[in-house]
Amino acid sequence: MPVKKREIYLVLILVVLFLPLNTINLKAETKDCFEKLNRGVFQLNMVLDKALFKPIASGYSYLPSPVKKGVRNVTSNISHTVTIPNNLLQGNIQGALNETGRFAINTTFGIFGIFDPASKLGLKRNDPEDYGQTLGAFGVGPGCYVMLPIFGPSTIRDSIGVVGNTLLDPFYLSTVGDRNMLLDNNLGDRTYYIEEGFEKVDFRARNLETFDDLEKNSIDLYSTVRSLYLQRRENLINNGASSDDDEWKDFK
Amino acid sequence: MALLLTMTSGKILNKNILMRKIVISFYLLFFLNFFQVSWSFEKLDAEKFVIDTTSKAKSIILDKDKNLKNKKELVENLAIEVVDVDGLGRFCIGSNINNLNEKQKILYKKKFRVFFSKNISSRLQSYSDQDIQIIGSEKRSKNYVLVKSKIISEAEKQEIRIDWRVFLVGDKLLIRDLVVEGLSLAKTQREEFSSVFANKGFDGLILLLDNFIEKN
Repeated sequence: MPVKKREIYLVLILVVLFLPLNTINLKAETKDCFEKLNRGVFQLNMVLDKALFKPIASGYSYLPSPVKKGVRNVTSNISHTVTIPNNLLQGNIQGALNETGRFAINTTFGIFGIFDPASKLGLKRNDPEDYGQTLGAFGVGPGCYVMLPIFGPSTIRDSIGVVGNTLLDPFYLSTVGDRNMLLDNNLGDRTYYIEEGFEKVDFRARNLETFDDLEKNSIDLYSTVRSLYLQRRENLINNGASSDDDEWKDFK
Repeated sequence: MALLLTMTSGKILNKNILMRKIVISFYLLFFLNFFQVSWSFEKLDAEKFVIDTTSKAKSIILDKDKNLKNKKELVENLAIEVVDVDGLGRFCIGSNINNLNEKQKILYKKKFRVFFSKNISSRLQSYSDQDIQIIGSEKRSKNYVLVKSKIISEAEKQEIRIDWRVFLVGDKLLIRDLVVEGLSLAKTQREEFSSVFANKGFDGLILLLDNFIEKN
């Protein structure tokens, strides 16, 4: 069986295996089933962040704004290869058309996404969509909360989503995978890892102050990060619709 | 007789007028009171309250004549004035409050008030040039309006969505939660407290609150 087919089957099998997770009660609180282990991994991630990621991101933040903006535009443009199919899977045709238009315009007139002429033409940048969100939109509950080494906070559902985001991503398939996409060329593994690296560093650099602020103002940083991650994912799955506030309506 | 009739009818007339006045006054009082109460519940007033609060905060923070210590004090006072701190404290401790005795409840309330004001003022430096725009509001219950806004930062050329949970508590409009880009600050705080409570108990929570207060 060719590698790419085997990878796709693997994702499908994982999806089918984990579909029953929390499907009945989506509003149920996400359980931290492995809290002790998760806290250990979180400590490890914090050490790695202080020793490696934060210094790199701090250095990166000194780059001129146009350079950082260009990097952000390129990585955001590439993420359309995951966002577009997930908009379609969630039945958001308008979103898929918007993102396809953005991708086509920015890849060509925006020179591989360095510039963002699509926004000036009225095609606004929307929140990203991924396979974890699509599973959520299909009614799959988050399962247990997990803290992944290096990758950070996630849930069982979102971890499966990450596998999909990688193995079903045309950009991954035409770099690390063996597909030939751009002018019948494979872009090579290095392109993928450089892009991923820049995306992560740019994200960390944009949030330097926010993370410092969280660290300073939290009495238990681990649980703050967990809460913020779970709320953010729920918000993305609901496409920014106002969060459920039933508990506030009756609060005295 | 005619005089008596006139006097009696005059008295009756006066009585009627008096009764009418009492009835009218009663109705006026009732309706004024009703209007005042229902008026306070309306969306526009919650929106105005949010705008007033943010402009007061902005004028304190951007006041060049005040040093950071003064600003911190003023912002702490403003926060205590416009936020239902005790209500927020009860929300944050959640169902764990049922496990506390009266003495512990009083101690928690006292510590939370200080923790809250220190938490607010320690975020002062992250404020720069943001302006607020009200997008709209929704009345969620008879004493609760959700005001939707966006904060526009000229320097960073970005917009941040912020929802304000505004409640009528007694006769005052008060904020109980801010939802920044879908992330509820009160919910985050509650989950943090709940985790500490589960792992370290009430004493552990008070100790961490004390450490925070001391550091800030």
